[in-house]
Amino acid sequence: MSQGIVLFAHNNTEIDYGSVAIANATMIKHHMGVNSITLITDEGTVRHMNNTWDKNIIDSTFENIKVVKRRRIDNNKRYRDTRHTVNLLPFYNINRSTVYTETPYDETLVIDVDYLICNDSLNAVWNHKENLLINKHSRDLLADRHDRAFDRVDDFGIDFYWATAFYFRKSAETEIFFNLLEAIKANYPYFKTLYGISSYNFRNDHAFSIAVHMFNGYANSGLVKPLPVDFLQHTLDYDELYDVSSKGSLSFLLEKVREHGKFIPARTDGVNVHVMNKYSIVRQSKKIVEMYS
Amino acid sequence: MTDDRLHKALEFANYRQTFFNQKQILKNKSEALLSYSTQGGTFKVTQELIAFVGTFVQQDYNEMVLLDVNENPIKIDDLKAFLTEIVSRYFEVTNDYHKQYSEMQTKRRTAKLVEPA
Repeated sequence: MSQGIVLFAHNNTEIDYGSVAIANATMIKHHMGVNSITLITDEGTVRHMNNTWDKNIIDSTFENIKVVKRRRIDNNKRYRDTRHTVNLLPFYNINRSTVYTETPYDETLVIDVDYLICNDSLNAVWNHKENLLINKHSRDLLADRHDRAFDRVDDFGIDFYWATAFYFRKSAETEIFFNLLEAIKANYPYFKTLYGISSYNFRNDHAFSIAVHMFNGYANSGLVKPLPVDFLQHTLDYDELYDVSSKGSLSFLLEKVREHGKFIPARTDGVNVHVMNKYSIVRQSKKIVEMYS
Repeated sequence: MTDDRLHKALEFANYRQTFFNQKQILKNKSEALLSYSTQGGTFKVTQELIAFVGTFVQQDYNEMVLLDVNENPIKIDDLKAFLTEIVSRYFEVTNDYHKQYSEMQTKRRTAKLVEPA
């Protein structure tokens, strides 16, 4: 049975997802020891990657690069670079549901490029008894900060699931799940109204949350299980990843809960962190690649 | 209260907040590392699991079925090896937690708490 990791990267006018993907893939190779990494991207992102990075680095980082057509979409997302900068930019990374047909592997671990991998705990998914694993909990790196929008898709809505990292094994069951996900995406205005989701744009996490809820028999039945480590850890886009001082060591400035624009420092060693401030990862990407390669 | 006293109090509050946060980061890290997967199942390495498995190893059981975190029945073929693995994982993680926490306690300045090792 083939096993591998799939990353998605579609640049927009400001965020260089391609560079973030290269940086994270080098971290994945080092910390997880997985060399089977496939990047699903588009022509424009590949062109930009080729102009930015040495060909040897790109070739040695990815086992496959799958170029898919990027469609023009009306799906904008607010990208923050701490409290000081906010930009409304197109968000193209909405093709996560196609991973079932795009993946070359029997067992696939899908990781968001901004979920920086600093340990091998996700290796525990391989040969798992369950065909689909996805988490519904994520802990803020700032201990006393908690965003309720990450508990449920709406105040009175269903549980929130994180599409940041999930595992699946190809099977009749998971094929149904990803077909359902495609159907939700195709009819998103209907489903988002049905589930009381108030945000205008399409969000992978919300589509997955709906799909998991339906897959669980329209109930909180827990048929869909969590990853072996049943929580992710994240920093918000109000925070800053300001340094990667050594392999697996990330330094952050985390915005204080009651003093916006003021920070406390934090450091993690060997912890996977979902870094929502993409700008700050792009700024560190060169350093990360140099350090890891 | 003089300005200097206030300044020192605020500095100390910052230090305490950073200390508490770093401790939580260590705690979460340890919790994540205390997950052990084998034979398609996932187990939380706890004192209870170690004691439970230890009881049966002492009674010379070679294999047994355990319920994992998802309540799936997982057949453990080599119970002794499983016990060795979870005990070693437990010591590794808790010793590391203790070492890093002790180091943190010796640092009296905010910047030192997050200084790269």
